Amino acid sequence: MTFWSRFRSWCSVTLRRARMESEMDTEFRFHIEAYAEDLMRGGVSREEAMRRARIEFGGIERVKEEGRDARGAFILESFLHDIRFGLRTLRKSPGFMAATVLTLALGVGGNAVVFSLAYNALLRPLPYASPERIVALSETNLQRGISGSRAAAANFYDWKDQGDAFSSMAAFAEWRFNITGTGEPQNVPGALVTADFFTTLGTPALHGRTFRLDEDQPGKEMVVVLSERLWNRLFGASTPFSNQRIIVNQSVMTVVGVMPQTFAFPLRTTEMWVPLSLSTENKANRDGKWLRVIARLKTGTSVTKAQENLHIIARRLEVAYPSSNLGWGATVISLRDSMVRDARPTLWLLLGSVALLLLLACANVSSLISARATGRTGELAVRFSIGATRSRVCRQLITESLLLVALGDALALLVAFWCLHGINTLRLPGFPWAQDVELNFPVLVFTMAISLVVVALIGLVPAIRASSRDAFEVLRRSGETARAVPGARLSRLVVAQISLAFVLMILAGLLTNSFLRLSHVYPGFRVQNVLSANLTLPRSKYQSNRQQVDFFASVIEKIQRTPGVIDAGGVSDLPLLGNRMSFKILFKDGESSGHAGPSGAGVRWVTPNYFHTLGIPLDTGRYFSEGDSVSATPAAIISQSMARSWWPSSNPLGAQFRLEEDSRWFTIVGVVKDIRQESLDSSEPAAVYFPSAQKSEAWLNWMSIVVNTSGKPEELGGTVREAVWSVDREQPITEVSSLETYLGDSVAIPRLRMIAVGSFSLIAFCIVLIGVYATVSYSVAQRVHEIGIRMALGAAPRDVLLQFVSHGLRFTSAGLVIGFLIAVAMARAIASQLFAVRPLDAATYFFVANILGITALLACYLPARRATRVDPMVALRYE
Amino acid sequence: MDKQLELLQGTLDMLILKAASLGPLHGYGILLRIQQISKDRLEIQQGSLYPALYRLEHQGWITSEWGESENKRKAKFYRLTAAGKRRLQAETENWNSMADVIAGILGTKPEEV
Repeated sequence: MTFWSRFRSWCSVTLRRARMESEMDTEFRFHIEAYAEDLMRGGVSREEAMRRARIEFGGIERVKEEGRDARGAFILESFLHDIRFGLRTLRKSPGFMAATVLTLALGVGGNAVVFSLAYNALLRPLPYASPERIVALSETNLQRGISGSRAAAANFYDWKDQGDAFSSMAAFAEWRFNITGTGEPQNVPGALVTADFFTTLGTPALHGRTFRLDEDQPGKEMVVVLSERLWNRLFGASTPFSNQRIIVNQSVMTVVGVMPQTFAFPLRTTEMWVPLSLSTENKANRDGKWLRVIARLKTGTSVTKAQENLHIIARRLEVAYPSSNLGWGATVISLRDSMVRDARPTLWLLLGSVALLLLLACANVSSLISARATGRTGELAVRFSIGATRSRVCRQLITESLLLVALGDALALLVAFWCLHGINTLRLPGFPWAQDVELNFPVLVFTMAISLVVVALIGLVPAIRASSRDAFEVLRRSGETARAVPGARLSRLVVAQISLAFVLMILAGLLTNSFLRLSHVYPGFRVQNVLSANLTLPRSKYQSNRQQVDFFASVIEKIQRTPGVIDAGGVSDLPLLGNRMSFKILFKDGESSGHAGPSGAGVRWVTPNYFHTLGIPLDTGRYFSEGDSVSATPAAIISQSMARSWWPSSNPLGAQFRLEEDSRWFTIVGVVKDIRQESLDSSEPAAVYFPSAQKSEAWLNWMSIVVNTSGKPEELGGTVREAVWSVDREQPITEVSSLETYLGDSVAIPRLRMIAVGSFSLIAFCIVLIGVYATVSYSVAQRVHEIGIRMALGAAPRDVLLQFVSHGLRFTSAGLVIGFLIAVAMARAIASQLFAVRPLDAATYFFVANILGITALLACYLPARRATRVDPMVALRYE
Repeated sequence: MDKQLELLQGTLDMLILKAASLGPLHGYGILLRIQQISKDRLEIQQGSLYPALYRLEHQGWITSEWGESENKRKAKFYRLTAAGKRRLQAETENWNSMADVIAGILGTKPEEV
């Protein structure tokens, strides 16, 4: 009953608001008139009676307001009313609205973008069953500086058999398949996987089934699992699932299952999975490291425990198979870590700087609102005096902030959407986590959450302050004072803005400086017009060293004879890709074993033309030639820095050394200039080159071909393939790319950092200028009266100007000092992400402080100059 | 006229319920009746009556309907509901026992402790 009547009352109030208002009017009028009539009966004149009746009734608007509240109308009604009113007031100051909404949009939008990235990389649950238990396993060779290497098949099977920390373990390798027989032949990216691949990831099939545990044994019926996309492409989305047969690489395979769209592993593009069926011989291979391995931890087992378990197995294998496994260990990391790798520092940098940007945006909007609220004390005081309660005014002011934030949010999501669209289309190399980034539900929740924080930061304090009862004072004194307090608060906000902007600009300055230095590093070799392609020979076909060397020689010769090719050569590991093989080097000094040379020297096997092709200059001695064949005296070329550190005063030519694994003594025949072997930001201490023709290791069965062309290197890709295939029709070629692409990719992360933090700081710069300008303008406008008096009493315009500019100078320098202290701490934290720039790089600090300081003073000067044009007469009359 | 007493917090609702229990009345009538019964000893801000009336109506203790006043004018008349009657009874009992207790405490003489 009670509830029902309440509900009815609320409904009638909400739905028939107009009627309620007019009924209240009628009721109050009746009351006042009835009372007045009673007074008139007591002999009072009609006019006087009405006046007294009205006074004794009290403020009608206030009674109405309380009446509405009493009827429960306030929730929706007054909120809508506030919004309408807020929109009206905001429309009256479009400059204020544009500045605040844009500032909020950039602050919140930036956070939404960075959070989307971070969420995608660090938080988004991987689409597998209990993904936290899935780990990635890899081989590691500390001596040779190799980590995260693929695993050899025999090692994988040993890990799988002996590892008791894992409930299942699977290996896979990316592979491409040709599907024929269903329409046009197509080349589909897929993977060869062991049978428990799907059970390890814990994803069931959408239709049909995944592999049975024996389906990766040789001799079984050939089966295949397709992605939903591929199924739809081959058979049409409407076709119900059935065990269709398709022809894959010339064999008939039965489709046993279809995986859901969300399942895309190991690559985003993977569309089919075929059992990895290895012959006994292949299963026993410990040299060819080509498998990627994932495993599921047993319940309750930690990654650390699994690592200990795997470590013991690897030691055992080292002892049992020293020829292949000596020096090789194994590493376990969580699947997520294996996907994110070195993204963490970058993400933290971005999160930190974008949070600074948001704080700055809040300080800016807060100062704009404060300035405006102080200008509105008159309006508020009037509202108080006609009966508005304090909480009512507070609610109104907060609604206005809410409105600004809501408008800002709408724009922010638009900004974020476009940025993410841009990031997704960039397909940044080396950023698996920066792909398919989306504005999903968690991002929206995050955005809403920070928006609430923003409302609290920008709306609450000014609202409480402005709605304080002091406003009555303001009305009484007709707005002449009550600005000292907000003035101080405004200055503090401006100081905060300048210091935050300074921090961001310092970070951006350091990162830009660092990137510029990095991209101006000369790698030491020719990058333009060079194409590279990787060839790995199948050991089953090219067993002996001789066969391998001959194959590479004839391929390079073929390429060399192609029109448009200037030079062609080969190297075991391309520079700049972070690959290196290092060996223990022993110098000959009379003893038979020799004494230890540089540890961790990078060793590369090259063809005679390699140095020519990449333009690596000779320092002394000679390059390799065709004469450095397998039958000739073993020769070596060393880098200049190795020569300098080991033969500081003598000539290294003619000296001899050997590798620990190889008993032959190599004679140094030449010294070449240093190049950036591993990456642009690190110089390799020592480098050794051997002629590839003299290699003794049959496991060294790969080579990168480098081709220097007269035209665009990409156009030569086809020619290189033809040349390879004219020697061996079945030889696969991978990673055909120009060296310029590699160079660009190798600095992609520093570039991303620079662009992201750079744009944040640019936004910060603009925001802070708006903030300073608005604050000084406001303070000038508020002091027109005071300026008028001073000028009337004979103050020169210069004095007035100086007053404002010196005020500006005070808060600018305060902001710079505070900013400097924060920036020093922040810069130290990102020191590891800088190249050739110290975190306290004086030039950067000097430059940024000047730019920010001078422009901030300019932003003070412009409104201050307006103050000097105040006409004393006008200013005084204004009062 | 005696000095007017300021209304105790929360007692206005009770007085309105009592006044309305004596027969349907418009807002001004309720005010007059309270003043008449109290012999003008209570000070009631006239406007504050209406939020209280709306609150009571919203809670379902009283209902209202439009009618014609004694001087032939359109006025809104308030009447107690069944729930309102129970409420008034409960409030009255509550008030009486509270008044007894307070009076007892305030009437205590030193020797009685």
